[in-house]
This record gives sequence, structure tokens and C-alpha cells, in this order.
Amino acid sequence: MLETEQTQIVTLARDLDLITSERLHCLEFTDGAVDRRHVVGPLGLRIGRTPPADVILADSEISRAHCLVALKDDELYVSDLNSTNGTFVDGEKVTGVRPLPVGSILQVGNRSLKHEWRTRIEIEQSEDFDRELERASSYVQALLPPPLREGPIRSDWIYQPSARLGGDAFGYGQLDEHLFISYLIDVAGHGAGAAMHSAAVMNQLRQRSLPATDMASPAQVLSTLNKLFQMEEHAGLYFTIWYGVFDTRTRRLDYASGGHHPAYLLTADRRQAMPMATRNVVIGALPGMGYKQATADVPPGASLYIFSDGVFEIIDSTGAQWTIDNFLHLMLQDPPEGIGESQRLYQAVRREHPAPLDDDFSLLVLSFD
Amino acid sequence: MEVQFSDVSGVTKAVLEGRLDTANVNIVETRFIAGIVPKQRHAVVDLSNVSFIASLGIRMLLSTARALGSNGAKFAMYGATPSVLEVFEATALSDIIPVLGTEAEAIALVTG
Repeated sequence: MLETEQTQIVTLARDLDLITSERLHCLEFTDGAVDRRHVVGPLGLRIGRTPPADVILADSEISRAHCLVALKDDELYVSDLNSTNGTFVDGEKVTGVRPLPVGSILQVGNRSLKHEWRTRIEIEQSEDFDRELERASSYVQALLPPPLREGPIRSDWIYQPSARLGGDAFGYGQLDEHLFISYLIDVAGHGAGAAMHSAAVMNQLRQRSLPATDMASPAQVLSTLNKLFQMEEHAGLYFTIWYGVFDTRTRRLDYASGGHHPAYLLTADRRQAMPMATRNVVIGALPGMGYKQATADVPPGASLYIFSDGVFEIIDSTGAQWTIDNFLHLMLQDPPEGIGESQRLYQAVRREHPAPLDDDFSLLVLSFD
Repeated sequence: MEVQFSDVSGVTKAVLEGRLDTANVNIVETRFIAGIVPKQRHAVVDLSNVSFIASLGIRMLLSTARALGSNGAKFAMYGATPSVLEVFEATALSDIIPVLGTEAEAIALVTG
């Protein structure tokens, strides 16, 4: 009897929500952009590349005044404003005025927006979630070390979390008077869960101490992290890592990667890029895995590039899927004066992929005397 | 992103098709795991029509292998394209989940 009463109460509450909540027509980016929702009001929305458009999209495929979305009798309609590349609804080119039904996809240039019909409560809940992601992102950013502008080892980095927030993080610093450590982790997945996991790993590494582990031994560090962060005990999350220890006395770099693509050591003349990776499984995949490390000599004036896969796993403006080799090609180019190396590479990648990034973009460049 | 299941000599066969990127894994993951793990028997995955795999795709395969392994069932993959094999190499995933060339080899491995 009690159960029946409870069920009735829930049903009534839902009905009340539907009756009292005004529904709004929204256009939402399907790529998870930060400013992703635009409500279509009685005046409609103009989409274009420059003001006075209501939705301004910095995309070379989009005309200054591209299309107009209008609201009439509680329905949406779209018309193209003589754009160069056209406007599409569910893949069909718009000619004249065309209905934009709920659930349909509006495509302009490289961007896609879905027509959603939402209650204010749904929008508020979604915005709450976005704010939580922003907070998680700020927390991860607070864990990153400041760039080193002076000294025998300088650092330059960029961390651009994707709209859905991935699980990238990195760090570096002196382990003792002679040893300098650097690392980058990339948790598989997106959202607050991935960010929390990367923060938990970072907090271990920032202590410069792990149980019964020589922090100067990359293989031991990875092995201990694998013990501590098994995916079954951490909501199915695993991560990849690159970890290196540079000895300033011998110029020797010991390193290990766990499921991570190579870092690259560039010579001072930028003629050579040496891949630095060891074949080890991702951290958390299986208990009891052995981890291997390797050693390299760091020539004077060399630079070490450590980065996450979000840096190169993009689809470029021709529709081609990038691999690490595309990024390597960018790395080897001579840098212009007056711009940091991490910023140069970020801008070069963004030119190839102007739409919001699908994954975090984390790149750390260490320069050695 | 598509996934199709069939039965080959008592082994669950899953065929994945498309890009295993973040968006597609979110769409297909539940169906993929639900089509394999509850049966608690050996399984193979055809990757010959998977053109790209992101870290979430690796996670989906790892979770499936671990769930099957805890029930004593084996899991193998086959037909991976060179670009997907490159990712398996970088992540050393093939140290955990066998990667074979053909369906017959994968079936023989899990039933052997």
C-alpha cells in the first residue's frame, strides 16, 4: 500500500513539472563546446562568423552572415543567408525556408548544432553540471607547476582542457640536488571522474614519494602506481603515463612509459627527434605487471617534448585522421621568434582543427642547457 | 558505429565497424559489453572495419577482457588495421588481449 502511494506521488510530481515548466527551443553544439547552448527566442538567432550575428563562430567555412533560425508558432525554421558553403539540415542543403524539427541537426561549416526542446529545469541541471566540470578543471590546473623561466632546465607548457574535461595532468621538479623528474599522465575518459582520478595520481606524484619505491627509478614508479591504481578499484579508470628522471651530473635521462606514446628528444639543431618510450601496459590494467625503463643521453641544448594524445589525435581540415607523425612534423619546424614553443604548437594544431578539441591538449617542453 | 553479434562454434563473435572514438564508444560500449560478458563464454572481436581507436575504446576492450577473465572465459581480437595495431603496440594492449590475424586463429586460440 505504501509503495502504491509513493508511486502516485512521483507520477504527480512529474506531471506537475511538465505542466508548469515552459519548454524552450535550444540549439546545442554536438561537439561539447563550452558555450554550447543557445536558446532561440521570438527574435530568432543569426549564425555567422562576425557581429552582428547572435552566434559567432570562428570557422573559416562559415560566412559572416551564414543563416537565420526563426521561431514561428512554436516551431523552428532555418533559412540560408547566401552563405558560401551552404547550410544543411540532417545532411540536406537548405534552399528557401526549411523547418528544423526537434532532434534535427543543423550544420554550418564544420560545426553541428542539434535542436533540443528543453524545460528550464533541464537547462539549469545541465548548467550545474557544467559548473561542476569547470570547478574540477580549475582544481586540476591548480596542481600544475609554474613554468621554469631560468636555470639549467627551463619548462614551457600548455594545458587546454576539452569542454568535457579529460584526465590529463603533468608535473616536474627537483627530486634532489642532482635529479630532475618530469611526468605526464592521461586518464582514459572524460568528465569529473577522470579529472578526480588524475588529481589523485598527481597528489601521489607531487609528494615525490611512493610506498617502498625509489622515485629515481621510472620502472619502480610505474610498477607501484599500477599496484595503487588498479582499474577495478577505481571505477574502471586506467591511465597512461610518461615518467623521466634526468641526472644533471651525467646528462643521463632514465625514462619509462606505461601505455603512453613516445616523448621526443629534439637536438639543438632540430634535425633529429628521438622517440622515447618503453613498451609497458597502461597503468591499472592488470596487477603484477612488470615495467621496463630505458636510458638516453641528453645532448647540450636539447629539448624534451612530453604530451598527451589529445595533441595529435585530431581530424584536420581535409578530414584526415592525424597520427603522431603529423605532430612530429610540426615539432621539427623552426620556431619563429617571440612565441613560446608550446603555444606555437597549440596554434598550429588549432589551425588544422578549429572546432573544439575532443580531448585535453597537454604539452610540456623541457629545454636543457 | 555498429556492433553485430553471432555465435561461432560456441564462441561469441562481435563485429565492430566504424571509428572507436570517444563519441562512438559512448554509444556502443553498453551494447558491446552486454552482448559479450553476461554469456560468460569465450569471445572474439573482429576489428577489420575499425579505422581508429581512442583511449576509451581501449578501456572498453580492457573492461570486457577483465570481466570475461574473472569468469574463466578467454577473449581475443583479430583483423586489426595497421593504424589500430599501432595503438595496440603503444599501449601494449596485446600483452593483455591476444591480437590475431584471422577469425580462425582467434577462435582456435580461445577454444584451445
